[in-house]
Order: sequence, then C-alpha cells, then structure tokens
Amino acid sequence: MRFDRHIALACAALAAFALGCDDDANSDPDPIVLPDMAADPEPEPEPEPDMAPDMAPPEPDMAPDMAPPEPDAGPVIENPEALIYENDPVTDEGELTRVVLHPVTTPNGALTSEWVQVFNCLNEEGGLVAMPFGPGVSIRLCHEVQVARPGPEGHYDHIAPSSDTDPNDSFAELMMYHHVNRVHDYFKDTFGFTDLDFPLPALVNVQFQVDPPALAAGFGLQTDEEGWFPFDNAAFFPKESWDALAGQFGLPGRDSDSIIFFQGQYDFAYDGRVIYHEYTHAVVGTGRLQAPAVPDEYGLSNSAPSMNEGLADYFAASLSDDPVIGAYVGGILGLGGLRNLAEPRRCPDDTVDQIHTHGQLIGATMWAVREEIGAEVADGIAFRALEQFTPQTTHAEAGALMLAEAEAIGGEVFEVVSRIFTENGFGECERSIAFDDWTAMGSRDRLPHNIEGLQTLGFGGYNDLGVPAFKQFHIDGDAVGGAAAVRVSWRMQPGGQGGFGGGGGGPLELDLAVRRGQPILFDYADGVAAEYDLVVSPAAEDGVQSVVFGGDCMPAAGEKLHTLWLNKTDSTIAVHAIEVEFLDAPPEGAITCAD
Amino acid sequence: MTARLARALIAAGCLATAAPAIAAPVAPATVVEPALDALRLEHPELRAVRRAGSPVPTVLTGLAVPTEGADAHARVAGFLARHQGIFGGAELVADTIRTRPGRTLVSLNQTHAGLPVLDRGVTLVLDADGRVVRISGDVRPVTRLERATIDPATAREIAVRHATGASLAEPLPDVPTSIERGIVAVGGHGVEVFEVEVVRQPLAEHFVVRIDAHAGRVLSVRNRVTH
Repeated sequence: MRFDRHIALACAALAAFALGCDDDANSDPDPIVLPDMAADPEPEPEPEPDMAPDMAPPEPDMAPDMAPPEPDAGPVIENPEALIYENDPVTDEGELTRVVLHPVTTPNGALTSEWVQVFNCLNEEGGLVAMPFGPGVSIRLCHEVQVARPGPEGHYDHIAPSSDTDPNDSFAELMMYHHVNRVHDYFKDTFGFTDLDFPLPALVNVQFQVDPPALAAGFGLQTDEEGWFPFDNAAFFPKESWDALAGQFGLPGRDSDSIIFFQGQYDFAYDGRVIYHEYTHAVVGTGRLQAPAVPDEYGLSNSAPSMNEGLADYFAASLSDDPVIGAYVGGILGLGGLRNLAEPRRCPDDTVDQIHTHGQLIGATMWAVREEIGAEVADGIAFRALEQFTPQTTHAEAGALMLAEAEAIGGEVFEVVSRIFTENGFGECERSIAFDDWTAMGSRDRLPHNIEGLQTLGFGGYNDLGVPAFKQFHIDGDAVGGAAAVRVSWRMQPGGQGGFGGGGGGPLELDLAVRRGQPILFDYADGVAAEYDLVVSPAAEDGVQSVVFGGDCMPAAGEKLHTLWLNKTDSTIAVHAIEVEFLDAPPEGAITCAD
Repeated sequence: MTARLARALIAAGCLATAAPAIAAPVAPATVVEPALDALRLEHPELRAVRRAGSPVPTVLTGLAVPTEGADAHARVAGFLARHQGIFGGAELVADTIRTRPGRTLVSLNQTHAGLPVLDRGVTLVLDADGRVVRISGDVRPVTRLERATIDPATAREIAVRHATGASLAEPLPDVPTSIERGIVAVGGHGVEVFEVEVVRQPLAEHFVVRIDAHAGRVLSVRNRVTH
C-alpha cells in the first residue's frame, strides 16, 4: 500500500501533458529484457530527428523575480504592449517579440480580458489544503492572485522572462494572457466558435506544498526545504471538479472550466503551443472524446481520448504553423520536442496505447492533409467534424465525419483527404500488428503495450473472457519460412500508475486468444462475444509467459495467425518485451489450432 | 438550452422522464432497419457506420432531411418524432444547442430509468435551411439493467480507500469527494454505477473512481484533469 502511494505521487508528477505514467500508460524507466534476450544490448534512445534543438540552460540572472505589485502601478491603456515569446524560448531562440495585448478589463491593470483571467499561484499561504492521507500530512495548494500590473506608461514590457524554475514570476502570467487571447480569437474568428466567450480562468506557476516537508520524501517527492513540490505539467480542469473541490472548503463555485499550468523544472506557460493544446481541450470540453475505452470489433479502442490529445496537438501546431509540439518543455525528457506531427503515423503499425502518443495518428494525418490542401481548409474539416464528436467517437467514426466534411467542400478536397486517410490507415484499420522481437525501451516511443484489467476498464462484461488489449498481434505466414513452430514470449510488469488505480499487486498473467486467417472479432449484440479458435493460458514465471504454436496453427504464406491478449486480473498489465523464435521442429506441448 | 427543448421532446414522446423504468423491451434491430429504410428511400446517398453487433448506426451521412419548426428546438423535436426508430428507441434528453455559421448542432444524451447513461450521446447537424444533414453518436437502448445494491456512502468509502490506498483497518482519509449516479452500458446491458470524485492533489489529481453499484467493486479510476 505504501509503495503504491509513493509511486502514484511520483507518477502524478511525471504523468503529463507529455509522456509519462498516464492513467493508461506507463513509462517504466528500466529497460526490460526477457530471459535469454540480453544478447543484444538495449539501443540507446536516439534523439528525434527534425526536432528543435535542446533548450539552452537559462541564464540565472535573466531577470529579477517579479516584485509584488506596486501600489502605484501604471495606468490602464487601450493598446498595452508587451515583450513575449511568440512561440517559446527554444523556437524563438530566446528572442522576445513586441506585441500589442488585448485591452485589460480591470481597473488596476490585472491581466483579465474578455477572454481570459490570468492568476499567478504564489508559493505562500492562502491556498486550499487537502489531507488525502489522513491527519498529519497536508497537501497545500499555492495561493491564487493576480500579480502583473502595467508599468509607468501603461505597458507590460517591463515584465521579463525569469528562470525556468521561478515559482512566482509574472512573465508566465503575461505569456498566458497573450496566447489565450490569441487562440481564442483563432477559434472564434475562424469557425465562429463562441462557447468560450468569457474570461476563462487560467492559472500559472502552480505548485503544491507538502506539510510537514520532512514527510515529502516518504511519498517519493523531492521538494524544497519548505515542502514545495515542482510539478511539470499543464492541464484542462473541468468546472465540475472545481465545484467538487470548492464545495468542501465553503468556496464559491466557478462558472466555467479552467486551464492550469504548473511550475516544475520548466515553466509550462512559457510554451505557447502547450497553451494552445490545453485551450483546445477546453474547446473540446467535457462532453466529447472522454470515454477512456470503447468496445469495438477488434476488442477495445482508445480512439476517443487519443483524438482529444491529437486534435489538441493539431490545432496548436496549425495555429503556430509548426508541427513540433513542446519544443521547450520537451527538455524535461531530454528531447527537442515532445511530438512532431510532420513525422508520419499510421494504423496499425503505430498504434500505441498511451493516448498522447496515439493521438499523433490523427494529428499527423491531419498535418499531412494540411500540407496538401492548406491550413484553412484542413482546419475547417477537423473543427467541423470535431463538433459532431460524442464521448465515445472512434477513429472510424471520426474518419467518416471528416470525409463527409471534405466531400461537402468539393470532390478534389475529398479525393485528397480520402487518399491520405487510406495511406495512414486513419478511419478504417485492421488493428493487428506483426509479432516481432521488441522491447518498449527500444521502440520508437519507448512505451509498453498496456492491457487494462477488470478494475481499470470502466465497464464490465469481460469477466468470463478477460479484458482485451487495444490491439492484436499476428504471426505472418510470409515470415515463417520453413519453420515448423514458433515460440512467442513476453515479459510483463504491473501497469497503471505504477501500482495505483488497480495496477500492481495482482498476478502477472495473460490469456491469449488465437484465430487463424482472420482477426479475433467481437460482437456486442447481447453482452460480450468474440470469434476465435482457442484461448491459451500459458504458465507465468517471473513475469514471463511463453507459447509455442505448431501444426495447423502455423500460417501458410499469405495467411496470418492472429492473437489477442486477454486480462482476467483486476489490474492493468504492461508488456515490456516480446521475443519471437522460429523453430525447426515443434517441441512437445506445442499448441495446434485443432486442440 | 435546454428546458425549452426538453419540453419539445417530451411533447414528441422522445424524452426520458424520471419514471423508474427498469427495462426497455425494445428489439432495436426490428425498429432501426425500417427507420433507416424509410430514410434511404428519400435519401439514397445515405451512408451508415455501425459498431460491431449494434443495429443502431453511429454515423449517418448523405442526408438532407427537411424539418419544420420555428427554431432548432422545434425542428429536432419534429425530426425525432418521425425518425426516432433510427436510435432503436433509446431515451434521449436534450443537452446543448450550438449555433455556428451555416449550421446548428443539437446534442442529446441518453438516459434510462431516470439516470444518465454515461458516455452515450448523439449530435444532429442542421444546415442553414434547417435540414438534418448528419447524425453522429453512440446510443442504443438499455434492455437489461443491473440495479444498485450498495448506497452512495458505501460507494464513497470503497472509492476513497481505493484512491488513497487506505486499508480497512485504517480510518477513512478525510479527502474532498463528490458523487454522481449513472448507468454504464455495453451494448444493451447496463449496470448502475456511482462515480466518486476523490481529490488527492487540488487541481492536479481529481480521480473519478467508478464503482459498479450492483457488484460493489471498482470499475476504473481516471484523472478528470486532462493533461
């Protein structure tokens, strides 16, 4: 139990806008190899090509910390100016750009416009306090307050960037103010989107304080001496959650959703595209693309939350006319950027269970469309289709709606979009990947395959069969050669948030459904039913399972033997390594499909 | 919206009420196909996307169904009154209406027995002339429902212990929570659930623990805060 808490908190810190221990993903740092698989060393992770260069270390004395607002702050003027990063410190190579800000609507010059209300969150007393682990340990939120004020001439150009780790700087307020106004105007002016025509609350520099600080280490948290915990993240925060929280403290509810930017090793508000990404989540809202998993013909689909992430990336990239997302905050992971939509992603080969990564399927596909037909038309197709999405929309349904939007524009546009969708496997895709030797840490995204458990899926119906994986794997008859049998082995670890939320503690064992010639197909006409030839339950030892197929299970040239992991345990199981070995003769006990 | 649209839908006989219905004895396939055939006769370009085993389409395109009414509310109510079979008899309640240049989008959520069917809804697109040109969604009647056997307080305790890791031997941690009741359905099979929001770190970790209210077990945990 204690272990779970530690890991959960640590993962919460890593889980992120970026890559990390997300609800449905894992990023275990240890490369895992199967027994006897260690002959080849793990490849070093290679830097992503075509990314922006790593962030240069910030100058410690770039600017003094923002002083508390002066009582005699400057006047409020109609067209105040400021110096901001048009993109982020990396893309802009540290160069600031003078811009005219939206006029503020406050009498004292605090950064509130018609479309955004920016709060700093200072590391001082005054924030909410929760006691999630009982008496004796409290988690204190920083103190929300609007700090930035105009200078003597009514401009804000005296507010300069601070260090990456400054927990109270006002430049973060300024970046948030400018970029939220910009992205608001983009959605409104381009699509007539008026749902966010109000001052959206936006918080910057958010951190937590563990009290007493001495106990922070016990939760696996590295805090400063006062217990403040740096948190690398950014988030869309639903109104309902604020109301649930505020109600406990006798605070007033909020009329709207919010966006929250945390302060960790990097200041997430310094990255304009991260602001656009989170704002797009607010555009999507809580009524669309929320279902974590949807039963479909191949088992389970996580299309909906993936597309929520992918479209947030797409619109951020399109507005910036640059396909790299997180050029600045990607420094956390030692990358030049978190994601690059110019790099193709196709289904099924690039089907990844982590939703930010899997979101690149729609993000990269729409970026390819944009490259051919232009931003205006591509953005319109994406936005108008998005507005028709529901909580459970799948890739197939999204593809149909996008094609309908393209068709409404004209035959030429439809042909281009249809061709790119087909090339990328977007919409229609047989979600089955060829088995091959594979390790998570050696893979493109360094992420494991996750199989949800009975207590992580969100709905029932799989007690008898087991919860299916998000994709199938197959043995390709064209790769068999003259082999008489094939051994497939896989190594597992607890999934979920390192043991939280149903992960960890349970047995590490999976069943494997098998079908010759066709994928395992599900049907939900009356409960959960699936078409397969057999299900095998191999013994598990030290987190490794192995099956050998022989006889009539061996696919002939041009055929496939499809398989699907099934999880009958309560917890998420993550597969970190796969090994495939072709054998000249089937060993005793080899599985035949006639069994 | 929504009261006005709700009244309109009630008038059309399409809207769920708080009546404690337990099952909707509808055979969706026998309802849906004739409704689609009728639409297809008038709109031969109609295309339908379906999920495995579901007779109810999740996407309908190639439509241009004229509607009548003073506004989107009335038009949608009229459309549903004539074509509700395409949803297999699922109970729908109005959610939002969004007006955009050249189109209006009307979203409805599914309910059953007075409870929301979580994550299920449908959106209709009306063009500038008020024609229904597109329908997308994922609704299907709940034909079998597992009723709750635990109360909200029990669900809350299960959720808090699961989210915080507190054992039964430990006192229940004093964390902010809120609770909602609904139905989760796979196909036509529904189960009553409680969704308990447990705040572990304000603004960063608001875990929604979904409890199967029939079996009294955890179905999932997700962070409501979208990163």
